[in-house]
Amino acid sequence: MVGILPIVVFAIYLAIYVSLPYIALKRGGRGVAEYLVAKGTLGKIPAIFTLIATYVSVYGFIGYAAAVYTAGYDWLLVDLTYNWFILVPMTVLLGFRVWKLAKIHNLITPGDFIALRTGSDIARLIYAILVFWAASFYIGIQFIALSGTASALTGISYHVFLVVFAIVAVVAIFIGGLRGVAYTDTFNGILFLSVLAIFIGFLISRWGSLNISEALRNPIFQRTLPTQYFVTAYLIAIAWPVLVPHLWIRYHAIERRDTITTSILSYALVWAVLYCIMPYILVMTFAAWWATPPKVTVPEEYVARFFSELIGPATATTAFLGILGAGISTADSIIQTCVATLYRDILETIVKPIAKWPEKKRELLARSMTIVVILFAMMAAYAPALPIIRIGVLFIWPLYSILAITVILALFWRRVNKYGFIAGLLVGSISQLLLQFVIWPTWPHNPWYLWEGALPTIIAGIATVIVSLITPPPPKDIIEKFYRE
Amino acid sequence: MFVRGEKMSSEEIEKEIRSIPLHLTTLDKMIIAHMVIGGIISGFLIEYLTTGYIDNIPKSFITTVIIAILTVLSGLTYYIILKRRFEKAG
Repeated sequence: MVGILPIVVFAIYLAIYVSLPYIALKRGGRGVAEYLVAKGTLGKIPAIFTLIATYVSVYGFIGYAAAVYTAGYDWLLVDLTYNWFILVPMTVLLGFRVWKLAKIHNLITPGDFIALRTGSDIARLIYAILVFWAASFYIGIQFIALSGTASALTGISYHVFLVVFAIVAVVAIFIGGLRGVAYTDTFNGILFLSVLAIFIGFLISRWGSLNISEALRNPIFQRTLPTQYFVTAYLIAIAWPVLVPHLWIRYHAIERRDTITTSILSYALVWAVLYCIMPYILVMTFAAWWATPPKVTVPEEYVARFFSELIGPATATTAFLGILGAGISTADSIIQTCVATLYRDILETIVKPIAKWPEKKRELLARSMTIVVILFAMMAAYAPALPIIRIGVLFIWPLYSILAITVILALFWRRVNKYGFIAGLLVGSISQLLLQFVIWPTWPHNPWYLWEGALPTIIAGIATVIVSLITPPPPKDIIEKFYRE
Repeated sequence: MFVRGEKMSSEEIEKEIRSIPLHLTTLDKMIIAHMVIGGIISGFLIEYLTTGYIDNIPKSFITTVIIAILTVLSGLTYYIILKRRFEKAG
């Protein structure tokens, strides 16, 4: 029993959380462009917070710690190493370009970018369907971590929290759209940092009672995967974190260029602390606290269990609201992007007359897509059979890399045409399914211990190049329009 | 200079948009060099500094700290370069 305090705090948190999208609605006004992309007028503070909240999630804080504790240091190494030499420079290379193109051409979704560059609605549609597929699982893993943590802290059923978090996210996104999500991200971001400071304070105060030197002998702190796994992951998954659609759409919403400059430094600081140092410290303390890992329903419970035992369930539950806020922020960012994709890139593309509907009717239809998206995510999160990092490995990261490699080629190589782009997407995604579920169903889904997304991403890139070269070049007017400075 | 909270005019947005080239620039080539050299350094870190111990401290701990420092330095360097570049561009 956690007592009345956490419940009161949770109620206050929810009240603030739901009121912020309402404030956003009042400030931003109405209309489809405002709902989907804040009309490209998002200010510096909410823009930076929403960029970071979109990337940094419970996956970073709770998921990594759980994965490293159960599967070893490899799972941290695979994501922490490339921040300094891939993620930071790729953000510089792509972030400003994506922002500029959105401003010049009034782009709303990444699908708009695809349609503009290829001149094909079929390319946009295929891209959007693949985004929707991957993002449904991505939202699902956020809900798994959120509900698993809340369930571990309170003893209340996982599925009860799954429904609660889904309703909260639906209400916030339905009302506030992207601007509302950015406001809640700012609130949750500040809350998260405050709570993190409190947790670090607790850890430091109890550090003397933990036998860290003994814990460090635990084999989980040793690398076991071969070098080629990491090398192929870094070389082939290079671009997806920048071009992942829920991050990409935020560049369309940013008003000013300098916001991107500041976000690069902010990202570096956040990646260093939350994706390098914090998971390692947490796992060290787990290893010192528990002689053997305790029994849990989902591995994502470990962080909550640890702090609950360290500082007591009532304090831990109260403080953990800040951590859960980070998870909700990422989830609602992805849901909002799925809503935009479903409405703009799928519905408007298939049912052409929608574009001629009155603005209010279109806006209502766009808002109602929130419910459809959340139902897909609930299906992905209903009965998790795998740790969230394994779900990411199977269903999310490889597909995002396939999407990114085709977009990068289209952005920097003018010879890419609609046939090449479509071929890259289809051949890449079909080969991913075949390799992962039919040919080599056992991880890492190839006999050479390459990163699981390496082969399908290479195949997607090759297909894009070959098909573009053997078919006519893209029309000159499309290229001139797209690349006009 | 803008007063905090003041809205930009569309002319100023146009100026900011024009300051971003779509073609590959010297900075882009530097970024590619950074990725190549960083990749080689990281490859060595993974190969030699992630398995085993130095004075009872796991090598993975040392690598984690090194990469955290490199990440902050990398972000700070680009931040300074971009700030200066945009100040010059106006």
